[in-house]
Amino acid sequence: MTQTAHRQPALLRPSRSVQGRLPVWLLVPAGIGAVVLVLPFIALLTRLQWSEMLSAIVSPQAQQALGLSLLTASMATVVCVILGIPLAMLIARSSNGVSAVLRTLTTLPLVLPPLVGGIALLALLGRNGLLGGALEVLGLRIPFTTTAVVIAQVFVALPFLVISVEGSLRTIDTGHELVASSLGASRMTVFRRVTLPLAAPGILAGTVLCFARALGEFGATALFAGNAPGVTRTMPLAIYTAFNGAGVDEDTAIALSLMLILVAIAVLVLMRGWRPGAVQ
Amino acid sequence: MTARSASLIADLRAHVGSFELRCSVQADPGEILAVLGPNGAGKSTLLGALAGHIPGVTGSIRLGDAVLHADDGLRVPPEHRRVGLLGQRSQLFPHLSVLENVAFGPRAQGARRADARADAVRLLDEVGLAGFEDRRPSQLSGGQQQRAVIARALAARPGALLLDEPFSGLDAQTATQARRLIMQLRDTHGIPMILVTHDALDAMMLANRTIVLQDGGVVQRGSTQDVLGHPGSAFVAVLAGVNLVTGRADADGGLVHLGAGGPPLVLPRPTDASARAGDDLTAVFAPSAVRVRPHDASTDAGHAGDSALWVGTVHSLEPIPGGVRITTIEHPEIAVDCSSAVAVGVGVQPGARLSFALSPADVSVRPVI
Repeated sequence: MTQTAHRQPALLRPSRSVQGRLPVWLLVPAGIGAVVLVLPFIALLTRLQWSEMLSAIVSPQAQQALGLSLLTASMATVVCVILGIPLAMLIARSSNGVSAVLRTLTTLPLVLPPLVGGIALLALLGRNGLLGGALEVLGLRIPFTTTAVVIAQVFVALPFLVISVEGSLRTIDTGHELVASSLGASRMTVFRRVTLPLAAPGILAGTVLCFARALGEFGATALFAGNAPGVTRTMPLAIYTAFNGAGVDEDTAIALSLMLILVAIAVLVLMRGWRPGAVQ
Repeated sequence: MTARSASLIADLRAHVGSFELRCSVQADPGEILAVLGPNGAGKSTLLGALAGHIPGVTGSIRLGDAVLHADDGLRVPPEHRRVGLLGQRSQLFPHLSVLENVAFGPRAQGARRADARADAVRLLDEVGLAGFEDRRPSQLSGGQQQRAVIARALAARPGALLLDEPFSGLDAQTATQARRLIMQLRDTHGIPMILVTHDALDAMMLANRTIVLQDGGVVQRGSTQDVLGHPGSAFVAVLAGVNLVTGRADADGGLVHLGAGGPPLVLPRPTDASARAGDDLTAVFAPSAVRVRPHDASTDAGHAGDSALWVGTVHSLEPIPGGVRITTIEHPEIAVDCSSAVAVGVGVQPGARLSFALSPADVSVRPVI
């Protein structure tokens, strides 16, 4: 009985050519959507002065900004992973009411303009801020330092990691964890050897998103960390400065933008290569 | 190996939301206790309570001399209970190889890597999976996955095993092989096992004793032969494939008078029945024990000789291997099986009037428990 239940007539079996079953009218909005996403970048490429591109990219200012961006985004990503995975775990395994509240709070920085985040960070850690005054007494000044850049990036990027990891944790069959504990594994062992590996695809995707978001962070950084070359001027701030600033022309901004795009593409390609099961 | 075998004994209550389970179970070394029951009866709750996975449990749980749960607040965490959970095949860790799955328990309990792997290799050989060590679970067939699940559970050296519908989702042949493997392990390892199942065949093949759970309570317990031979509930009667009808002892004829909804039905009373008139009784008989004849106006409902006799109008027909299952409008609660040859001979079709006869030797009658 159970054997026959799984058999389906050949006509009803899922077909390999799924794209053949797409309603034709879906192609129109899908095509427009793809164009909206890609066309601006093509326009950017047409504005590129190839001769100045190279000099802009190898300029000390650009190198400095790129180095600072990669450094701070990496640090922010590490912090996000260390804090975000446990937070995602807490949200995923809390009762419905608690997890709804936690999830809403976590998502807040996602839906607010980063500028608001910058103001909020200043209110907390600024000279007259909630904690800033106390830190000042201890001799710690956070705003307008590289640390401030990392904190701003963590603030805006952490939600991406948490949401992604939490979604992945939710889809894990908790039966695996129960079985693991009945095999004699402590809670920590279950977490390390069962939960984390099973959530790995979500963790990886979340980490990449988190890094990309940290790399592109501008608003909160500008307000909370400022725009000091070599200290807080990351790539987005360098691009803004080049575009708006005195003496430097638009071409430099375009060249730097292209650089950032290339870094982002490299990250995405790396992620595809690493994704478990990507080969199969 | 026999040194670590001891009985798993529990007398517990568990609360999950508004649901309450009250249940006592005992499984002795080398024995499998089957737990039958419909969905929502509390079978999973029972396993969860024994394994230590659910809160809200009161009562006592012991494994030999080791107290796992007591009302003085003692709660041994799941990882220290030595109570293994053997679930469905889908619960192999998908990110680990077959060998790593089996070695997981020993490793988690602190065994050295080489020892854990040696253990795993030996157990995989025991369950017939030698050579599959480096496969991923997804690369195994359903039956092989179930074997790996069994090896993994044994590798953790459990003092007792909880089997949670381990054969569901396997095709009939594979399930039979898996049952045979469990039977071997029951005899060689001597671990007490509790088997939760929907399938009467599991209980028949594996379990000496069976309990039936319904609405959070034990409604029947006894030898498997007894429980399936004379079910106390409609649920088990369906599982066992028998008819279960209730009624009252009849004074003058010495017969059991059963009228379940339809017209009164007189079933023969076995000679050894000790019921007195007025006692509530249940009668159990196999659908195939009923003989079907064309209806003859001269015979009326009653009993001819020793056999019970009744007349019914065919309501529904259902194919069974080698024949048909008949239910009548008058007695929809009684299934009657007859071979295809007989069905054609007597003209079985919806609306047909038929006579049914049942010999006392084929009926088991008991007082209501």
